[in-house]
Amino acid sequence: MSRHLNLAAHYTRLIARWPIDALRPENRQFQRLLENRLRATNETATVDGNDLSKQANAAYLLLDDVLSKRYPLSDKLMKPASRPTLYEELDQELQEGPRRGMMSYIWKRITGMVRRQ
Amino acid sequence: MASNSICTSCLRAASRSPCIKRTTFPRLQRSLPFSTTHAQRKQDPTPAPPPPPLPHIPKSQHDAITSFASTLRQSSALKAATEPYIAYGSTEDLFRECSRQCEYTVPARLASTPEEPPRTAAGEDLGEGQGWWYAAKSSGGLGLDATFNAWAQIMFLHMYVLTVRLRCFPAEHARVWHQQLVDHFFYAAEDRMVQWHAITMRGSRNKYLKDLWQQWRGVILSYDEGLVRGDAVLAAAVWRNVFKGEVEADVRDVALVTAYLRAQLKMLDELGDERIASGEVRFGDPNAVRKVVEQESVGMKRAFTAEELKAAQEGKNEGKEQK
Repeated sequence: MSRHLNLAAHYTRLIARWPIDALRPENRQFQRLLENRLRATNETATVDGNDLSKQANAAYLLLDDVLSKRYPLSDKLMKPASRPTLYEELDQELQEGPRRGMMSYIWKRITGMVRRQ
Repeated sequence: MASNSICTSCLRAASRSPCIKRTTFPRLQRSLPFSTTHAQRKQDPTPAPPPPPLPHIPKSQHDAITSFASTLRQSSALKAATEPYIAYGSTEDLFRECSRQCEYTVPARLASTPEEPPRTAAGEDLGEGQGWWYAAKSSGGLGLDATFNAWAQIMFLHMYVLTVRLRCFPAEHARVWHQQLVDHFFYAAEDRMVQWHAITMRGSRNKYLKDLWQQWRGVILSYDEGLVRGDAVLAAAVWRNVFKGEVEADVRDVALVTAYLRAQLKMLDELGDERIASGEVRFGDPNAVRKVVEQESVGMKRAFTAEELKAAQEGKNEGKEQK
């Protein structure tokens, strides 16, 4: 199998696996960067296969959460003393937010004005 | 216009001083708006006499006074009142450590007849930076342009790491400390706009500062999202912020900065609260995480399925047809 087809297959797989970001517009998705590399694999004249291969390698490391495993953070940081449920609430909000309708949004804004301490 | 003449004379004063860094501005002036301090100095013809020297306190008495002061601080009445002042001093050290990573200057503005500096393709002032972030890739650095926005993004990254750590302080303290750290940044940003970018109009500066505030909030949100959701999302956030979402960015550089971010978070995680509160933090060398990012991944070795090969072949054919 040709080197360039191999690289193209890697980038296609990376683009398919990379998580979709519901909060950002199309041109700010990381997939655009990977697609740029994929197009570069077709440029058989000028492409540096070694360079593209290393970039694909880096993208795989990011997808497989290698950094999170290499630098794990303790509960002290992930459940901070000033607000232990911060990251859980954030996760929930990030999941619900894009799907929220207009009325739910307005209600949330109103109820969010008063915070119970 | 009055503010024009004030700021050019400040620039001249700064250029005469041998050290162009932030120490040009004495600590006291930090709490006052930049232009009015200088205006007052200009209007006052007879300078005030220097203050009398402080009385010499023998060391044994000094220790007693320090311990008395710390005992006073323990009382609940004074604690809340003195917290901002303690936080101001320590966060200044933390801020200085962030700032140490990404100093840059715009030499064209220091000339005796200030000239327009070189500009990037996007029209930003291009300066000369010190440190790994601006160093050329050929010499092992990241190769970012030394612009105001690059400086702001590198500062945001380091301030974000400190913010996550400051969240671990008790609730009543965390907010004060975080506020002071952010205040240091915005004072420095405004100083920088005046000194190196000749943004003399306060209205323009305020507009840029408001924009910078929005960017800061966006940075916190996107990096927090990356912490919660995994490395891919964190890397996408780093790409959008530090690398400005350019499609020509190198994936290895994005991975390197992401690894550095996580390594600093882990380093601060392992430091006790007293170290953070006394401002004794030193960020690590980004090159130390290169090995982590250059290791071979499992995905590269995984064989392709028939569908993946087919999709790749179709993509390649489409690419050829479009040509």
